[in-house]
Amino acid sequence: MTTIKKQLITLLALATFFACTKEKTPVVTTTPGDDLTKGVLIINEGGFGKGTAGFDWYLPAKKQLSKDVFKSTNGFPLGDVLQSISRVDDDLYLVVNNSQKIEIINRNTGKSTGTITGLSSPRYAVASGNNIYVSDLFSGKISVVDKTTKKVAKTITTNGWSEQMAVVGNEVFVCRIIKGNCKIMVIDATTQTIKDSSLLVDDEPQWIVKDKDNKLWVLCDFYAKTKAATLLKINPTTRAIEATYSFPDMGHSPSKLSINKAGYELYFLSKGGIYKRSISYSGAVVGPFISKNSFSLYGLGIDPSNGDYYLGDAIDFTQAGYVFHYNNNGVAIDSFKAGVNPSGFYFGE
Amino acid sequence: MKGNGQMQATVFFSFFLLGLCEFFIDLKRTIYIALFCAFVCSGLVLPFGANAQTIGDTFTVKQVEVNGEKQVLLTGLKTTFIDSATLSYNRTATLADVLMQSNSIFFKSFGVGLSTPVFRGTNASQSKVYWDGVPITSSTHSTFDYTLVPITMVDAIEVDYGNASLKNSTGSFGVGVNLITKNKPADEVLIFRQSIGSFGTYKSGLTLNFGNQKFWGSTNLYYEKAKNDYSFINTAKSGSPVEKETRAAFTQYGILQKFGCQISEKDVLTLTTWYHVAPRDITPPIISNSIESRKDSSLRFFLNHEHKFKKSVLSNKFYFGNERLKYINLTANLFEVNNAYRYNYVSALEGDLTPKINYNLNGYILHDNAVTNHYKGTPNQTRYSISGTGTHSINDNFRYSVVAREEVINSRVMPIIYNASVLAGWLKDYHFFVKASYGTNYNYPGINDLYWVPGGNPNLQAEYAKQAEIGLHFTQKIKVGSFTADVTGFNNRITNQIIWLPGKNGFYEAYNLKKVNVVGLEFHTEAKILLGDLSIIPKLKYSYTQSTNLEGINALDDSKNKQVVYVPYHLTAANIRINYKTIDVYGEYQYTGFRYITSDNTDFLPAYGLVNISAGNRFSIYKNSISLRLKINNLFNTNYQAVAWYPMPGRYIEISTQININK
Repeated sequence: MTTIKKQLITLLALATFFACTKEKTPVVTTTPGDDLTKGVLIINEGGFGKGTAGFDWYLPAKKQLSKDVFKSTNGFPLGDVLQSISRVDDDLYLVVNNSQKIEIINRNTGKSTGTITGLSSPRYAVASGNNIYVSDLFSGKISVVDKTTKKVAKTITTNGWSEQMAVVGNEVFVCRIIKGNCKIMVIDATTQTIKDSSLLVDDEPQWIVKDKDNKLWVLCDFYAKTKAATLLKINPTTRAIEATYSFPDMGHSPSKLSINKAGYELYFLSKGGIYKRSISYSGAVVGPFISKNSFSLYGLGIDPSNGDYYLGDAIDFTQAGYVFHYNNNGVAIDSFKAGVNPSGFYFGE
Repeated sequence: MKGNGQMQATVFFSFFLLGLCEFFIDLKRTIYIALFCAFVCSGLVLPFGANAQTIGDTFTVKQVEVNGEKQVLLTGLKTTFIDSATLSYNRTATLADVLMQSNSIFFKSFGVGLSTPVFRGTNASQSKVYWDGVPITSSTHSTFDYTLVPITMVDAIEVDYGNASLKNSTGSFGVGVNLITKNKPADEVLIFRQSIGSFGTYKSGLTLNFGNQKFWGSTNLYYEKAKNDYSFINTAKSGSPVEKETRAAFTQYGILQKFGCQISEKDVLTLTTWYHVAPRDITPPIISNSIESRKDSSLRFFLNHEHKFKKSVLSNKFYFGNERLKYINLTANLFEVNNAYRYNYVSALEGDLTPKINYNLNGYILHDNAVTNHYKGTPNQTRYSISGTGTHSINDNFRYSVVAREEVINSRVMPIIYNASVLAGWLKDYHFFVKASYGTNYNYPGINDLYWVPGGNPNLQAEYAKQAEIGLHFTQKIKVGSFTADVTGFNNRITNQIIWLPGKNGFYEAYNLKKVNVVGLEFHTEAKILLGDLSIIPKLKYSYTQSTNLEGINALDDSKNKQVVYVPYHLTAANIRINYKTIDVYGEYQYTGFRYITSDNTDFLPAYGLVNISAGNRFSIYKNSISLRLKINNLFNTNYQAVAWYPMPGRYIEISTQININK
């Protein structure tokens, strides 16, 4: 065998080896001057009572990941169970459920700018006017935080567990859960009082989004499994349920309801992967659009800039989870290990 | 007779080897480790000389004296005893402290108010606690809080490793802890105890013994209170400030009342009532500010009748227990009351069939039910259980033992579980021998696992374990005392392990998902040196545990083939006790190796070592005595966490006294 042939075979073997090797997303550390708005924030909820909450920063263009940015930027851990991230002006509000607090960071630098305490078990935060409304698992109240003082200025009684909220005009629509008496409650954002509590919905409404027509979509899942989960379309003006779409069987436990930037396409996680549904479609729930069979699909995000999908897999909930990145046609682009329990994504527009 | 014995031994060996074959691959590692340690042991014992004692012809089942109580040891399985003398130095300690001193156990301590064991790589629900052979582990959450037993309630502790606890019940893959109380009148009329310690700790106790050899009684009162306002470094906050714990206050009090009656020469009847109350804070991790507290209270009645036959003892035990938990969560506005009731009848016959064959027959009916808002209805569990244990000595060089247990749980016929074990060597006085055992066991799901709403899963299967042990034991009398060395290798394979995982709605749900393989080694050596009024007892214990998760949930699961969380590879305890006349000095060093805290082994808690010391003196005044003791735990004020985000106390100083008024 000639030397050239040997070299060619070696080259071919090396090429084959590298072609078969799984590409790894490089893990880097954030440096001063990095702008977090240019990437995707991965919400790592962490284990309950384990103090492993945090967020990673992913740059899709470079396929580059910075891990646990809050701790590396601020020098102390975020806390226990990062439930959600919301933008309020130039800040991000990190709602840390089991630490009973909201950490406020600058949305560009990630530097801590304050902490809101005096909360019981905060879940989500939405801004309307000069106030931020914080839902709560245990307190039976919505906390109203003054944007200027960053303190709880008032509480609004809901008499039950409150989950996601949506703002339509001057009204805040709240998913309120009491078994057998679940409602979408309406808060008047000008007076910070309950304006309407008459809209009864199916059990356990946790997820709510607003579409391009200012209609609200709510996912309800009966934990007790006495009835299949439902997707509701609600008219926020008339407070009427305009449509109810039942899931085909009890095996569906839909979650993480999201909507595209243009507001006409709904997405959610359920049995077997990611589901997509036009707001104008009136047929039964079909899918999934992207199949992913896993025991623990846990996070979903749609990048408003390009429609890319991000899917979080918590695996066994006690280890670093995986994130899968797909383009808007559902073609896999990348996958990498994130933090513990990747439950959601924030896109810094 | 001899031929018969050989045939039985052959049958036994076939049975035994079949089981061992299943474990061959995993055991290879264990055997290598055991052989290595045997080598080390032989090196250690050589200086003392190999002075084997003469082997007698008559076999007597090994018995251990614990204040007059006799405990029959299963051959080939490991059982240790913490006797009353050792406990007397630890009257203000918790059960967890005492077990850590004497055995290779890591306790997951959530601050100072809650401790659950991690033993031989198993989880807390896979170890059981018994009170004079009756199970008192919770029927609902399947665990036991080892901080809730004042040592003054107990006269001795039997620690059964692995399948050694099959004689009491199923389910102890790790350890079965039997709290033994004596059933004979005590010498003291009155015992008063008082201690004052750091962090606002006060412990008081009073024991009153009365009666005669025919009829006797004992009243034991205790009250313990601690603020636990210790300082710690808060690594969860910017700048890691030093803060004081404010949510760890602990109180417990109770009474144990015992009456005993020698009905006839052969019959003894005892009735014991134990009422215990423990209101306490639930210490939150430092990454949370939740305000939670609980009040555990329990009421237990125990009626025990023993009848001695010529060659056996028949005991009948009736037990009733009510455990009540009030849980208050001010953060969540929750107030819950859970009640669990247990009714248990145990009948046991134990004796010698022939001079060389010892047996133990045990049967019980156990009924549990529980009441809480989190169940649909009132779930209950009823078990009918029978077991038989036989130990046969072929001669003074070879002995084997078999135990089998069959249960019916809620009309479900469970598989027969068994254990076969063998001892070979110079067995007289347990001088030098090789031991081996193989067996099966299962742990039936607790009521919460099955019926808790939300998350309980009525379709759960029992956790199932195959357990094998192999080891060497050496005891040598020397001129000035004795020397003992013991090494045990073990392999436990657990399938259907129950874990709770978050479901889609965020509520945790129970699944039979895990398959775990545990391979480990335990080494123990101690010497007793007696020089007139001076006695010196140094001890060294070491354990290595590799607890591996064998199955992943999916291909991405990086926990496969990784160490199970909170199982330290290495545990070491070295201690020395020196007694001179009435003075005693004690020092110990406990080392706990690092523990992974994520299942993919990417994050861990660092190892820590603690030094504890104590010294005491006893003064006699006529027949009575007063003892004084000074104890310092965590002498070097080590900052550590046994469980992530739960800082443990620094240096703890305690002064205690005990006054004994004797008859």
